[in-house]
This record gives sequence, structure tokens and C-alpha cells, in this order.
Amino acid sequence: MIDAERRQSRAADASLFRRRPARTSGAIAVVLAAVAIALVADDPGQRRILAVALVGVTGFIAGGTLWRRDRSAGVTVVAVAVAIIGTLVLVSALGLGLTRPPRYVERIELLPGLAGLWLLAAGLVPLRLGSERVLVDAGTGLVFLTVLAGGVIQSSPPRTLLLAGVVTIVAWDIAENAVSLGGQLGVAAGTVRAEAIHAVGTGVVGAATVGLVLFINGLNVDGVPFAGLIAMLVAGVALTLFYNR
Amino acid sequence: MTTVRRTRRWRGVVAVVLLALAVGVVAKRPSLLLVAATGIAFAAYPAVTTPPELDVSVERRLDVDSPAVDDTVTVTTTLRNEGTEMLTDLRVVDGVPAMLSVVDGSPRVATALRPGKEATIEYAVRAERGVHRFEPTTVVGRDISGGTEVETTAATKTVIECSARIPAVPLRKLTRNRTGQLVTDRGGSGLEFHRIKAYERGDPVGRIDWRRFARSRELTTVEFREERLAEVVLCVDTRAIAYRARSPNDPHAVASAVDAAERIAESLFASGHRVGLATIGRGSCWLPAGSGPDHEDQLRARLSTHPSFSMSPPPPSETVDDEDADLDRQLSVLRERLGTVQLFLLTPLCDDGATRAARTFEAAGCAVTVVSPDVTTDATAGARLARIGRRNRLRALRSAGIPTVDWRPDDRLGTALATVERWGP
Repeated sequence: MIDAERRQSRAADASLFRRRPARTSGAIAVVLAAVAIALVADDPGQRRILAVALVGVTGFIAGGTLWRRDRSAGVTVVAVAVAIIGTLVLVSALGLGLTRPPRYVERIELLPGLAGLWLLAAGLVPLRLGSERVLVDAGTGLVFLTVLAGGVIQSSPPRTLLLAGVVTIVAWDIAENAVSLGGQLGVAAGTVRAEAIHAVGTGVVGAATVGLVLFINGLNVDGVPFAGLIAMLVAGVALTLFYNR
Repeated sequence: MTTVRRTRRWRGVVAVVLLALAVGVVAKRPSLLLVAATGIAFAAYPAVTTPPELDVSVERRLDVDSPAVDDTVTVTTTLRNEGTEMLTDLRVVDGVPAMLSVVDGSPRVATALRPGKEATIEYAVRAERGVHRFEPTTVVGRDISGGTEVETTAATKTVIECSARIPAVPLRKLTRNRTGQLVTDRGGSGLEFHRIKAYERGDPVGRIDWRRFARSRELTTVEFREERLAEVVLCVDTRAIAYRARSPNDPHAVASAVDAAERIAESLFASGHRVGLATIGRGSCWLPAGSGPDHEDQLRARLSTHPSFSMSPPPPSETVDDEDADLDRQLSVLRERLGTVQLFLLTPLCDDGATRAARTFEAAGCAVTVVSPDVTTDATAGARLARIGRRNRLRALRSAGIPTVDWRPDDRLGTALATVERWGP
């Protein structure tokens, strides 16, 4: 009997090792992903749909986090209900995104990003232990598809597009770091300082990259044919791959 | 020991670059090529950062060194960056003793440290019976991109001692011919009266019973129980099967056994006996019986640092194909080494191999006492079956004349050992 009580009191310990992505970084990553979508989808109608989707994702995160924190019956019911309502709001945003914008291309543009936002949130709650990285990768990947779609239909100027692309990569980096920290140290550990330094580091690299690319672009190296530009980029990729081997 | 790992976390960015490139080419959009160019910068990012030079020292303070059972002990661990460069991503896991559970705060932290700066982790553990040594603190450093991860350990000696003393260890009769504290059934010089026998030439004059001689003119010699020194070897079962625990949050049987071995050794050393150390299972730790401060230190060091007593079970890659044959081989080697000593076999008795070991040693002339931490539960049908199996093994050992100590790690070890003394060797 004493053993049972002891075990129960241990199970209730607040500081048992629990593998969850770090909260602060997770929140920043979701916000950055939303910013990336907002940069590309700059039509007021699209922004409204994004706002609805954000409300849904916030509800989903709140419910999911509560569900992860407390598994007692009453709390679980409330938490799961909140998460499902949040998801339904997001699904309705998806529906709006599919029907509301007047142009067909604008409809296609927004969809992967909104779904990606939900997947990213699902990876950071996390919806399923052990699948955090897959969900985060898939989520930010879909957000990146929205950025690419924005580039294809030329809805926004190159500068904004560039920024959206970098913000997506930074969001992925911060989310992956949250998963890594949570996996090694658990949710009870104090990690905010390391998270902040890492996020600032990646942010600075991102900003510098945008600056550099815009600067080179601004030099207006005329006469470089499109094919030449491509060859240069492929060479860059090959070089990086070789160097990182 | 320092290990350097590439995390390869930025590898996926190359795919993103290629995708942007492909879409840009197909749709003829130069702006997408710019996006691809920024991606290349991130792919190259981990290659331009250097792995951190980890030079971290650890200092640990306890608010109580020797608490009572179930008391809360606050542990304050201070980390200091002794190196010359800033550590941008430092992840630290303090080496909480395997038997203790953290009740407040977290023994883990991630932070960034400038050279010479300090960070502290504060958490509380609940004290359990025993002597608990902190294990080395694990320190993981990542460069700012997270591309390279360096892992190392930093150690500082800290001990929590919690009412661990065992009053007496029940020893069996087999002993060596050296004077000590173990009272034997043999007559000779000592403190406790044994018998009176007829005088023989050569008996010490001081032990002749002169009163009786005056009364009856009969020369008799008084004999006392001889007090001898015991030579004891503590043998811990560290086979993979012994790494069982009642629940994931409870210490496993090897942790309990190592803890018990340490306390038994402490008590035996205090009485002046000679103590040695052996294992059956992974690796083989062998320390012949001995005494003296150096030997005591060596034995303690072996218990806390020798890989045979590792607190984590052997990885699946290390498991032997034929465990029975492996055990037999180990037993025959040990039998040669042991000779005729007192042997304490510390095993959870999870399988018949453990009983076979006890019987083999007993048959080889050792005086075996089995101390068995009980890690069985009655939570599930399978667990109940394991409990019955263990009970049967205990009974089999007792009927073979081997004293056994059935010890629940939550109870006092001293009390459990005392039951054997009553029960008789």
C-alpha cells in the first residue's frame, strides 16, 4: 500500500522528465511562420483569412498544451474540445481560402501555408511524441510552398518574397531547436537564454543574407543571362554539399 | 571523454534550395532564384561555425549532507565557463544519483555562458536510505548554428548520506585463521566462555582453572570462543536481466544492489573484516578481499565508477547469444578466484541463473548468503508470475541451506539482514 502511494506521489512530481519541445521557441516559430505567410499573402481578403486561421491555431495550441500537461479526465475533455474547436476554425479558414479570394491563383497560394501552420503547431504541442521533427519539417515545408507560390504568381515584390523565404527558414530552425532542446532537457528545464541566443544568431544570419543578396541584386549586374544565374546557383549548391560532406 | 557529433540539421535546406531553384527555372521567375540563393547561405552556415571548446567546471552544494529518510535536499550546482570563448548553446544535465528522485525544479538547464561567467541549477531531491554519489555532470555544447555538438562530462565529488549504517552483517561460520570480531564455535582465546577441558601440555598457564585445581586437584583449562576475522567477497549480479525496476521511476535492482554492497562493505570494514568485490554479468570486476584505508577507497571507487556497475543496462548490441553458457564460464572463473570465502551474492533473483550461481559457489566451498532486492510487483498477471517465480527461488535456496535476505529496497537493509541472523545460518 505504501508502495502504491509512493509511486502515485512520484507520478505527481512536477519535475519528472517530460520530452516536449521548448515552449518559447515553439511560440516564436509559429509566429514567424504566420509572418512569412502574411508577407506573401498581402491581399486584405487573404490577411483576414489568415487571421481566422491564426485564431484556430492558437486554440489548437492552447488545447493541445493543456492536454499534454494534465491527463486527468475532466481536463482532458475540456482540452481536447478546445483543440478540436481550434482545428475546426482552421478548417473553416481553409474553406474560406478555397472559395473567397476572387482569383484562382490566390486561392491556391494560401492553402498550403494554412495547413502548414497547423502541422507546425501539431509538431510543437506535440500531437504525437516521436513525430515532432516530421511534423515540423512538413509544416514549414508547406509554408515554404506558399512562399514559392507567391513567387510564381508574382503577387509580391522580390524583396518581400526574399524576406518571406528567409523568415520561413528561420522559423524552421527555431522550431527544430525547440524540439532538440525539449528532447535533451525536457520541458521543466530552464532553456530560455539558450533559445534566445540561438534565435538571435539565426536571425542575424538571415538578415545578413537578405542584405547581401539584395545588395548583389542591386548592383544590377546586367547582361548575366538567366541560364548563367541558374548555373551559378547550382554551382553554389554543389559546393555547399561537397563542403558539408 | 569528449565526443564530437555532426547534427546535420541543416541538411534539408539544400532540398529547399533545389526546390526553389527548380520552380524558379520552370516558371522563369528570377525572384525565386534569389530565394534559392538565401537558402544556400543557410546550407553553408554550419560549415563556417567552429565547434565549441568545452571547458566547464562544476561545483555542487547541498543544504544538508546527511538528511533523514524522505527529507528534501536542495542541490545547487554552479557551472563556470573556464574557457576563453563564449559558449552560445550549453546544455547541462546534472548527475543525479540513480536512487534519488528529483521532487522540485529540474537538474537540467540550457544556457549561454561568456568566459568566466557562471550559471546555477537549483533543484531538490528526496533522500532515500543509502550513500548516494553524484555522477559526473553531462555537458553538451553546440555551436551557434547547431551544426556540431560536443559532449563531455564534468565531475565533482558530492555525496548524500542518509541513515545508511547497518548495525551488523550476519556472517556465516566459515572463516580464516586470523583474529577478528567474528565469534566462532572453536575454543581458544577470546572473550566469551566456551567450555572447560582437561589440561593438555602446552595450554597457557594463565587459562588453567586454579580454583578447580584447589578444590579437586584436577588440572583443567578454560576455553573461550575464538574471535576470528572473516574474508568476505561481495558479488553483484549485473546481468542485463537484473536491470529491472518496479516502475520506470523506481531505481532498478542493480542500483539497489550496488547501494547495498557499499553499505555492507562499510559495516564489514568497520568491524575489521577483509572485503572483496566481484560481479557476474557485463565485464568482470574483481577485487580480492583486503582491508586497510587504501583498499576501502579502491573498493568504493570500483563500486561507483567501474563499468561493470554501470547504472544503465547494457545496450542490445552487447548481449550475448548464449547467456547460460556465458554465465557458466563466468562462474567457473570466479570459483577459481574465490577459494573458500564468505560470499554475499546480491541479486534480484529474476531468473534461475542467479540460483545456479548461488548453488555453484556454495558447492565450491564458499559460505554463500544471498541478499535479494525485491523489485517485483503485483500490478499485472505477468508481474505476479515473476513474483511467484522469485519466491520459489528464495524457497529453493533456503531449503538448500543458503541463508537469504529478502529485502524490499524501501525498507531498512539493516533490519532485513537481522532477520537472517535470527533465522540462523
